[in-house]
Amino acid sequence: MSQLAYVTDTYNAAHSNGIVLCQQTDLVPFSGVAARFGQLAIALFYLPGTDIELYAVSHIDPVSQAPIIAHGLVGESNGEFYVAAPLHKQQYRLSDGLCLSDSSLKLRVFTVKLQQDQVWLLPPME
Amino acid sequence: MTTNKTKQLLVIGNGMVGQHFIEQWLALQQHSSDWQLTVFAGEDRPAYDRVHLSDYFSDGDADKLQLVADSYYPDNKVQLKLNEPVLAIDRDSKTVSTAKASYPYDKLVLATGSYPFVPPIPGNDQPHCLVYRTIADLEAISASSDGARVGVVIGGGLLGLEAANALKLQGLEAHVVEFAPQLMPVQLDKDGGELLRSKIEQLGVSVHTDKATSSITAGSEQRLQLNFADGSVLQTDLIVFSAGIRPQDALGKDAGLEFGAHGGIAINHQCQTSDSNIYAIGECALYQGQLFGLVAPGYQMARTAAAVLNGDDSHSFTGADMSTKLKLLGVDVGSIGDAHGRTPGSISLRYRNDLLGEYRKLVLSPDGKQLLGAVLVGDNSYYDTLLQYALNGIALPADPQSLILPQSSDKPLLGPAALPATATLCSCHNVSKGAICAALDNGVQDLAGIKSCTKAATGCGGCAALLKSVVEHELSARGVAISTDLCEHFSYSRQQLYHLVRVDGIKTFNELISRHGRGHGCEICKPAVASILASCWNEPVLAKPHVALQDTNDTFLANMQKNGTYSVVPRIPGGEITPAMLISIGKVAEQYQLYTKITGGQRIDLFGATLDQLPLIWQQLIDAGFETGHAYGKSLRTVKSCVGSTWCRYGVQDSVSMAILLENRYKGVRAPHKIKMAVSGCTRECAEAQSKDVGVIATENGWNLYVCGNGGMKPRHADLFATDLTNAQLLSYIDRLLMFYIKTADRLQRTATWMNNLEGGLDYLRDVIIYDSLGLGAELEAQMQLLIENYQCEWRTALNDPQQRARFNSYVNAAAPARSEFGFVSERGQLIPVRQVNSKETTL
Ligand code: SRM
Ligand SMILES: Cc1cc2nc3c(=O)[nH]c(=O)nc-3n(C[C@H](O)[C@H](O)[C@H](O)COP(=O)(O)OP(=O)(O)OC[C@H]3O[C@@H](n4cnc5c(N)ncnc54)[C@H](O)[C@@H]3O)c2cc1C
Ligand code: SF4
Ligand code: FES
Repeated sequence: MSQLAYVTDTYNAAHSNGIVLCQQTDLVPFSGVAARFGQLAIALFYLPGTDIELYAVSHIDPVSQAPIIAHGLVGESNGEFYVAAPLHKQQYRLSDGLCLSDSSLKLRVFTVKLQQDQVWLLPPME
Repeated sequence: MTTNKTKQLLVIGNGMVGQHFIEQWLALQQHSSDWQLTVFAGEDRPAYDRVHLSDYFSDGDADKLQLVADSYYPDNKVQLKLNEPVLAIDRDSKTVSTAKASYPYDKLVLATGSYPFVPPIPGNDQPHCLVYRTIADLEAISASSDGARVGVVIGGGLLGLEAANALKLQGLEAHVVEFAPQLMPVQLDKDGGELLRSKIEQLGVSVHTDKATSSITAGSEQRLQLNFADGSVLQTDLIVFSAGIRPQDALGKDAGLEFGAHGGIAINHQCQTSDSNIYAIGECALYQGQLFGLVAPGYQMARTAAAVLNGDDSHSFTGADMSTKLKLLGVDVGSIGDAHGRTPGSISLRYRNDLLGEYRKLVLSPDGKQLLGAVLVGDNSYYDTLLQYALNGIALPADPQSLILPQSSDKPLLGPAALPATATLCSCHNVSKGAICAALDNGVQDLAGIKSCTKAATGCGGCAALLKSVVEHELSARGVAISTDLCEHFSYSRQQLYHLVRVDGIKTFNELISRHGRGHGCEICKPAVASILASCWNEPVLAKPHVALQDTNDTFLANMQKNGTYSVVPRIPGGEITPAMLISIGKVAEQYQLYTKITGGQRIDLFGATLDQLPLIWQQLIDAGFETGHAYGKSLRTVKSCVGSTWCRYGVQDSVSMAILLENRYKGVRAPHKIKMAVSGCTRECAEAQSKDVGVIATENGWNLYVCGNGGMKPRHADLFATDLTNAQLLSYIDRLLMFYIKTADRLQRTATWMNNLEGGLDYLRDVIIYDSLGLGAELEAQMQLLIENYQCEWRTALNDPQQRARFNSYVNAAAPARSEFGFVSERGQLIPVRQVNSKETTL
């Protein structure tokens, strides 16, 4: 509990202007990679040529607690993108982290952007 | 405590009908247990499929016929008393007695079946005079065939002809002796009988009709001699009597139950005998003066008796249809309803073609509007339609002859659509078209589901074709499930996509989806297409255009475990490994503290590696001479082997070398699902080859090939495909088989399901693979050759390519996580994942 609060605070307060997470070349097109920011593990999905090219959600699988979400397969249904969790294939919508097959599950979402060949992590948008 | 007395339900006879009664009864008793069910079996084995008894001679395996597993009885608290026939029923004290004890009953069910009738011919009790009813009888026939040359069946009815076929299969010169002027006098008319005779003679079985046997004496050339009333004789080494069956009704008769003039315990429509505590079902029961020598009516009685005993009076047995359809020695024969036209005023229509060897007759009601009966010889494709007309009283078309005339293009086929909802499709399990539709409406989606939920087509199997057409018709009428679209991105089946890839020479997913699909793909189509591309061109799965298509396990060339770590499975072809290699695996496992286990596939699995450790571990394994085992891929897993002739005193071929050869030949080939193989060095089958997709068993002369078996959720024994093959034949058949499977199977379909869904099944597969009926043989072999030539160890490739290797960094911007972050504890000296309670709160 307190750990979660700590993480959220760092994310909110310390980086009002955003920080560089990694290089664009670290991304794998149409697939995911994981990056770390402090205690946070973030799954980055790069979908070049689509409306939103970069998504970031928590890398931690809410069911198994294992850091694996970035290793899931990216799928699309009716124009919306999701990731299928590697172990039990729950589908999480990349735009808001909502689990499409079990509404009690949700991935935390992060705000990111691609700028000058770099991946930026931004403070949460309200 | 003891006030709540358990009531005793006793069943005498564990034949097909007795067994069906048990199943029906248990299904009704799921929630209450105030009954103890005890079953007495006269034979020394639990119920088996008598209808398919003759399979014993084609595959020599009696156990395959058994209807339920041995554990079924204890699991369901049924006491099964094998080899303990009931000797008497005492209705006053309500007990039955056997040689061992007496047992009280509250309710009693007689399911004692029939016994073969042996005509009172002098000399009929000598050795080598046999009958055809039980597995023990077949064992006796088999033993008697040893050293025999000629076999005679007395009786030219349905069973007699089946027995003659069995004798032929035993390699004997077979004769059938029939008292009546024609074969199958009960089911066929004169013309039908004549045609059947000529067909059977063409197959090499001698038929002697109009022959009364007056005595059996010792033979001069053969063991025995049949002396006929007309003075002629016939010598033979063994005789099988198949002169009809008689109800096994002695117990009931002795107990004073009412019985018929020609035998059979009389029952009412609730299957009750003249004693309301005693029921009779199956072949020992007589209903309104009629005996029923088929399973379907027996099953109906079993169902009725179970329901009535369970307090449900709404069920009743009201007689049954005795129509039959069968293939005797490869000849189609069908008989429906009033085949002899005995109904006063009935009209008959016949078609007889001696050139084609076909005969068909319709028996119509006096007004010509209803079908009362039919006879078919030579072509049973007319049977299902005619049976439905007869059973359901469907009004005949204006020109009923069109129903039996050949190739009249507008033959009014009674399609599945025309059947009324009340039409019974499966008489064994009493399943109507309406019940099928209801099941489909309740969400059952395919034929297999229908079979398992309604049991239709799981009895005699006679209704299978009709059931399939009804299910397919109903599915397509519902517009849903028949769709073979892979997913929302492709309106094609896997098979169609495979063709598109091949024909257009498509090399990437993007090319395929932009030309033939829409959207961006999903976790269904991406791996399926990745597998097709790999099967066609065999480019490394981690090459740039393919990497984002793979399932997690393929992406990381390892199987992800429940805590997010991975397993490592090096290939150990045929299970053979040198001590040095074994030591090197041990060293790696020790260094990385990997949990180590011998798998069910004769190799070693190392568990608990983190993503970052995988390349390090694999580098060491590759340096030690290992390659990837593809434990993660839909591809060849293991080729299991026994030691074979190298060491084993029984081995007749070198099964280890063959297993290694096969494993090295097919490793890395991507397929719709995983493939497993095994090679045994002799018929003892220590490698369990018959449970594999491809099973090879050594013979004195080469190899027997078995195909399409699997273990797993729904085990299926492989079918014998070809015998005594040379090495070259074996490889060519397996090449063709695998490639044809890759070409035509659905996604995630193992070979067994694939074969079951192939129109024509095993025979068709043999035509394609062995006889090359599609002319595809050379092409299939060439395509397989390409895959074999393009093989590379994916781990070696990945390690040599910096871009691929980078994928194994857990984080793109941070150091590898410590292994302890994944949570391990020690058990029996090794590390295993922490046993987690699932919590949805996110922590790191
Ligand atoms: C390791 C092993 C169990 C063991 O400790 O012995 C095993 C482990 C797994 N099996 Fe298995 N199976 C293993 C032998 C078997 C066998 C026995 C055999 O091959 O002789 C069977 C039954 C035979 C068969 O397949 O016909 C078997 C039937 C299955 C099935 C059910 C397949 C089916 O058609 O019903 C699955 C599920 C699937 O593939 O969809 C499965 C899936 C799995 C997976 C891959 C599940 C998964 O995706 O995580 C397991 C992970 C393996 C890993 O992490 O390395 N495993 N599995 C065995 C590895 C053998 C090997 O050396 O490759
Ligand atoms: C070779 C062959 C092929 C057949 N093909 C077909 C077909 O294609 N279609 C079809 O519909 N039917 C077919 N039949 C007929 C079918 O097998 C029978 O209708 C069915 O088995 C009848 O079942 P039942 O339980 O009434 O009798 P059974 O299966 O004969 O079982 C009766 C059992 O009761 C036992 N028993 C008898 N007395 C006692 C006692 N006192 N105590 C304890 N146990 C006792 C017997 O040992 C026996 O095991 C075929 C039969 C044979 C032999
Ligand atoms: S299958 Fe045959 S050769 Fe192989 S171990 Fe068994 S008996 Fe020996
Ligand atoms: S009619 Fe026998 S299985 Fe359906």
